[in-house]
Amino acid sequence: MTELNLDRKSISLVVNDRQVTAQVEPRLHLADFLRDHLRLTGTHLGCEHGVCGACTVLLDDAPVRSCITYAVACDGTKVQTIEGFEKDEDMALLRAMFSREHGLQCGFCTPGMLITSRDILRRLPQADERRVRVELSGNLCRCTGYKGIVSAVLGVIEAAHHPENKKSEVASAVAANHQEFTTFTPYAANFSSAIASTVSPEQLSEGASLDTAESTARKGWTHVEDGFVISLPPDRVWLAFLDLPLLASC
Amino acid sequence: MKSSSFDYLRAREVPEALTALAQGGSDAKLLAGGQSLGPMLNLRLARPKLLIDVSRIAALKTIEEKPHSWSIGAAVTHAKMEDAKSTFHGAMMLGEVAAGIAYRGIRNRGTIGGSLAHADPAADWPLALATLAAVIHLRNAAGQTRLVPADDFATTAFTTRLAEDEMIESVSVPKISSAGRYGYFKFCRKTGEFAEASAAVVFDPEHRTARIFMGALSGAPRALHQLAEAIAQHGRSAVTSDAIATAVRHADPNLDSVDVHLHATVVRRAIERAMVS
Repeated sequence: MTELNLDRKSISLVVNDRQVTAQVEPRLHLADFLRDHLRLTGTHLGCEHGVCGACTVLLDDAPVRSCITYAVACDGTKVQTIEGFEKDEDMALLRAMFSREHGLQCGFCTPGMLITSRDILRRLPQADERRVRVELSGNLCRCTGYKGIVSAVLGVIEAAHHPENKKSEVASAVAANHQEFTTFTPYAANFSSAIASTVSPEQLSEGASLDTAESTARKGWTHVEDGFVISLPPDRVWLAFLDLPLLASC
Repeated sequence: MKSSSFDYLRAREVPEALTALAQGGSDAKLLAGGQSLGPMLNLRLARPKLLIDVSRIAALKTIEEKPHSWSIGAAVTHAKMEDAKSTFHGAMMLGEVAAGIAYRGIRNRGTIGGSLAHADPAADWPLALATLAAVIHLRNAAGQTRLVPADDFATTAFTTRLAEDEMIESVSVPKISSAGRYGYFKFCRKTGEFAEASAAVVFDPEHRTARIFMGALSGAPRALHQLAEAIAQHGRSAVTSDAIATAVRHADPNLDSVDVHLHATVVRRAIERAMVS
């Protein structure tokens, strides 16, 4: 065989409960198919070689890495992306807990984290912290240090162990996420003058003064130097890093 | 991170896959779970012109218990074996090893046959199956079958005794007797990463089997036969740091002192697990 057959292949699959048919190049991976062809950009691509887990989706109800799964190989399957969990109770609770426990910062890993976390809830309803950490080890997060994510998953597991509380837990967590809009009467016409009348420039800058001094280090560049001293021993500082509510309130 | 172009064929039966493989020659590659081949394609370390998908061939996806062994189809996923963990009577190590491979997202796709054929020195199945004295069933396009012992299957890193027109059909794993013991240990810098050192141990007095292998070397897993024999005969008194380090050095003379220390520690931990299991 020397000739390379570049014919597109016809595939038919169910994506988020919708029947989809398409002609795809065999080398097109599932994540690119979802993002570029179906515009389901909630699936994120990090490493594109199966390491980071950001592109995790459900394929026939099991989490897989969509960057090393080819779309052509998914003919006849059922795919569920992060966009497909609107009516899923587990996912609703996870979303609320991720928010409450600061389980995300930049959000890049979050779709994969949520889908993997939901799989943990279903497969390992008794998982303890160590198990949750092991199970999440295939999903990389570069912001949170994982603590918030682990707390969020454990929070959902905890709620599930107290079914009498689960409903109210879901309700309050979801409510905390979806505060009702309060109507108000805005300043009418000239927005900027209205601002000027209520907030002073000093209040906006919160006491800091703007340093506009030109740096001499490099022509045309502004050199900014900043630093602060924490008057505590390193051990205490590391302990503070474990205290998410404290950190988040900073 | 996009693969170069390839053609794709989803095989429904083993003969269909083998015919396509024979026709494709070195331009064709079998695709099972794709959890190693996928990254290699995306990184363009592999550029086959044809991928033959065998992951949906029903005959390759069965797990069967026989009187003295377990027969595992080549396209059985690690996750399926992880979930069957408690049912592997006489071969509990299979479920434990499966559960420790990479991450669930990988285990849901990756297969035992794919792992053996890929023959990554740091992978779990080549080491575990060599230690369990498993036998690999191969078939070619002419319908000929042959059996290769798992401890003689990989010849070196990423290289096996598979002929160009052959594929793995299944693996037979002999059962350990109720008096048998096993231990498996691997050292990974991060959970789920490829191992930097790994070892597997089986002692079965009823079958008079004593096997210790170490993996994550520069080539295929290596046997530590003399150490295994000494421990079988003398028990705990044969498990000394010196004896283990000597065995490790003997099995792979290319290891430097840091590697010897790491591998010897991992071998010791696998032995300890077998001693208390």
